Amino acid sequence: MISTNLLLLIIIPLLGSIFTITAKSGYIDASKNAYNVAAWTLMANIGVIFSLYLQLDPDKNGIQLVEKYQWLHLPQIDIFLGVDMFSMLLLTTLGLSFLMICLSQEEKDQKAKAIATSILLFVSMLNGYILAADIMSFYIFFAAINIPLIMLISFSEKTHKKNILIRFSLYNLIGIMLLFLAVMTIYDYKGGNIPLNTAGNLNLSGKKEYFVWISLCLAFMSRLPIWPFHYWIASMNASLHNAMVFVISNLMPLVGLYGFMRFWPNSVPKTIAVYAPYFEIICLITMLLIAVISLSSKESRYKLFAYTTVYYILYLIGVFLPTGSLKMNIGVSLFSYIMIFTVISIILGHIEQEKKRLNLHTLTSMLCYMPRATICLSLYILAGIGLPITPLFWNNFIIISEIFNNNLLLGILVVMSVFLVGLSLLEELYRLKDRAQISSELKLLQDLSRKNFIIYIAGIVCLLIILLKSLWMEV
Amino acid sequence: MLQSIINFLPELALCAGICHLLILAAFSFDAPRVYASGARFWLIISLLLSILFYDRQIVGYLQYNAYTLLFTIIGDIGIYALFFLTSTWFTAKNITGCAYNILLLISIICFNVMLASVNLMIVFGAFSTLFIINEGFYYIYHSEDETDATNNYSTSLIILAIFIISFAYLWYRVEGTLEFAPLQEFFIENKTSLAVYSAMIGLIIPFLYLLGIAPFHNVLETRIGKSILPVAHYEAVILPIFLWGEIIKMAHLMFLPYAASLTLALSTLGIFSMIVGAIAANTDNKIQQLYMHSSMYHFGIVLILLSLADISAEFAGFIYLFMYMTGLAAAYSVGYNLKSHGEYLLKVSSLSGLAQTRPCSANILLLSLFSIIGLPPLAGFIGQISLVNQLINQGKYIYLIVIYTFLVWLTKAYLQMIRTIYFQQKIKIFDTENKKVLMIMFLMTIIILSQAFNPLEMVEKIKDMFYVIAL
Repeated sequence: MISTNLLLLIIIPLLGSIFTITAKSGYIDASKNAYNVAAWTLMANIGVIFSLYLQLDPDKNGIQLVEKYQWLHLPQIDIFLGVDMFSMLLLTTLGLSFLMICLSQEEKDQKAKAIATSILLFVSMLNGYILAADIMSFYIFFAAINIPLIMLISFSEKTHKKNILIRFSLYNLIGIMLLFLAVMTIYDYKGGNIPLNTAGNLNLSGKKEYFVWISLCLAFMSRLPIWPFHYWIASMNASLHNAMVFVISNLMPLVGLYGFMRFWPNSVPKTIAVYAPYFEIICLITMLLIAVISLSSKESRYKLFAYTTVYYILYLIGVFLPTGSLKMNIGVSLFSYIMIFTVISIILGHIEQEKKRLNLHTLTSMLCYMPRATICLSLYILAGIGLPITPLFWNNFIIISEIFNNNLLLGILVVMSVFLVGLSLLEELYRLKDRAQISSELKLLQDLSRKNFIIYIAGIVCLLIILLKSLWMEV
Repeated sequence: MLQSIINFLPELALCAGICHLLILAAFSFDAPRVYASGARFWLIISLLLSILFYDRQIVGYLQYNAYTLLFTIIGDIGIYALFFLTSTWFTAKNITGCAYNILLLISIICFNVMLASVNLMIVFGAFSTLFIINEGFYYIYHSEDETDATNNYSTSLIILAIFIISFAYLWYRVEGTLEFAPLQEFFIENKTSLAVYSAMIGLIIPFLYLLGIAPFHNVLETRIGKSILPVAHYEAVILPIFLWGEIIKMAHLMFLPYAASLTLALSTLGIFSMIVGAIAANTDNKIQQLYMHSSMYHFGIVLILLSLADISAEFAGFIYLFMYMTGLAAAYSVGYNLKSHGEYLLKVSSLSGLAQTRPCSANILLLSLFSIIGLPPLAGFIGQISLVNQLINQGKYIYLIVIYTFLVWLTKAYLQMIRTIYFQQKIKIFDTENKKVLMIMFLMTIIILSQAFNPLEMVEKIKDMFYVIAL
């Protein structure tokens, strides 16, 4: 019997989105229902992911459980889907994060149907991107992710900074085109669609080789907020007010990072690999710059954006290191990191919403009357900056050690950036808990619901279990 | 006798449709739906007969085959949707639309005959009639002031005159029949003759003029901006399908001896059209003009692929065109639901805040624009694959760079539109959406979404039909 489990991971959210968009709207519980459908869909998706763990051989390297689907005859293109442990970790953390997003929605929102549909579409496309095992499907999902993202931003955001959307979309489009040209050049050279893991054995030469690799690098860079491409992504993310959209928008760099992960380790030819140090320098400058800006910024969103960016770049530098052993560390670290920034973003979203509801002018002291939010935010921020209760700490430690091992100066500057964004997040936490501007109207603040509180604590417990399990495995 | 009748059965069905509409007009029926239903009925009969007798022929004049059937099916389905949509427009405007439907049925006869013809005489007759019908559409149904009308008509007259003179010259020079095969021999014999070459160019220019390829785009640009929606829809979506079908056919059966010299001319025109289209699209405030400039860009690409004078490149061009037209047809169908106080919205700025009150229309428009750009997994992506695969195969990297540079430019115009729809504050109260139009819009969306998955191996079937031209 042919297995279609991987395809199911793309189809289930897709069906969920169709179900959500065709659901009746305009009645009292319509928004709740939309998010419930999304949550059930994501639970089904997570169920399939867990069933895949049973079929996967953890000791085996490379792509497993490959599924092949015929698509076009002219040109001949077959689609391959496959997973390895790294992609499984990503699929799991994304599934859990999106589930937390959907479960934490409590307020009635007129746009709930559209947002839930877009989220499910996004999950479907992102799953497809992670599962893609050939260059053509890799490109298709790389490009397709943009559609729900733009829809989501368009739905949920207001008139603020409208030109940024245009620049952001154009900028992404250029990335899409470059990847398309690179993929089609490879397709033409090899006379067909090739598996992703053989992209390094192309034996391209001369201009063609440079064209393909430069296009690939620029395409993936277009999704990462690295200088000189950082401005539009930074402006876009800092201007987003909806916590869900912020999380999703912040997952776009993951697309670029994952692209590098798939193409770079052991794949890139030596003629191109010599340029990696220059790329590392650019990454480092961006990292330091964003970290310093975040320290001076007063916006909590920007601080969170700076935190996510610095960590993405840290992983990227890890990818560029001439050692192939960091892949799983990056995978496990990403697992915790995505969950952590999702929860921080949702809690900050809740606090901002309360501020708006009570018409307050500042976020200072707001946590004083929100004990559940205080516990969750403190735990997650501390975990995010390196409290040794999650796999993030342990794996980041290994990644940074490797960077030090490779280049001392690079390691010092990376640690400095990580330290600065950590400081910036702590400063924000302090500001939120500072009793300096405490007032009677803050008593009207609504804390996190018990349901959400339990979900977030369960999240941190889950991360702790994974840390302990991975430590035992190391032993 | 029976054979002659069978040969013309699809066209006779359309003639019957024209008579039917005339009878309805004579009895003063004033419901646009009645006219549209009548036209649709006869169109379906004609299409079925075309499929049934797809290989009929009249030796020396008409040769129907799978290639002609391919264009007939695509075009007729488009026209069927057009009849459906325009009846809502005419109902809203309280016009019967009888003349429009009759002109459209005559156009279909001309399309069928022109595509099947293997004789320049027939092409001349059918194309001239189409040209005049086009003028008729504009004359009867233009929406704004007529200050530029005289200028437009005089330009059209000049173009038609070029066509007639070129045809007359060739008729004078060629001794005997004007069938494509002997004509091709004549071209080979007179390959160095400037006059013959000019005559051949003179035959192509009117086609480019009707397609709006730069530098022949000025009149169409003005007209589409001023035309009513049904006419603009016809000129932008239906007419180009058949015109491209005929251009590809003529290039193959008649102009092959000039392939080398045509390559440079067509690719230059193609690039020029792309550049002008992409730049002009960013200056537009009228929706129809924006689509027209978008077409200029995309037709430029098709022209570049045709200039490669290779059947696989022509097929890639056709697939690109087909996918683009699907996206454009979907975008046009949304236009029939964009009304405020009974007035159809023509300006991009009037779409402000559409997403707030009409999310369905807004989203379908968004998807169709994404498809036009070529984003996977939408229909346009199949066109992009064909295009890029072909150009890389032939090592035309410069073309690729130009195409993608200006695609970014063009996309900026689409994004401006999307920004207006989603981010601007609502300035108009939009009328309730028409359910019939919604149905067509959904159907178009399904097509856009499903085409990229190549249902029923559609691309392969289209290829088999298309390649008949090369046999």
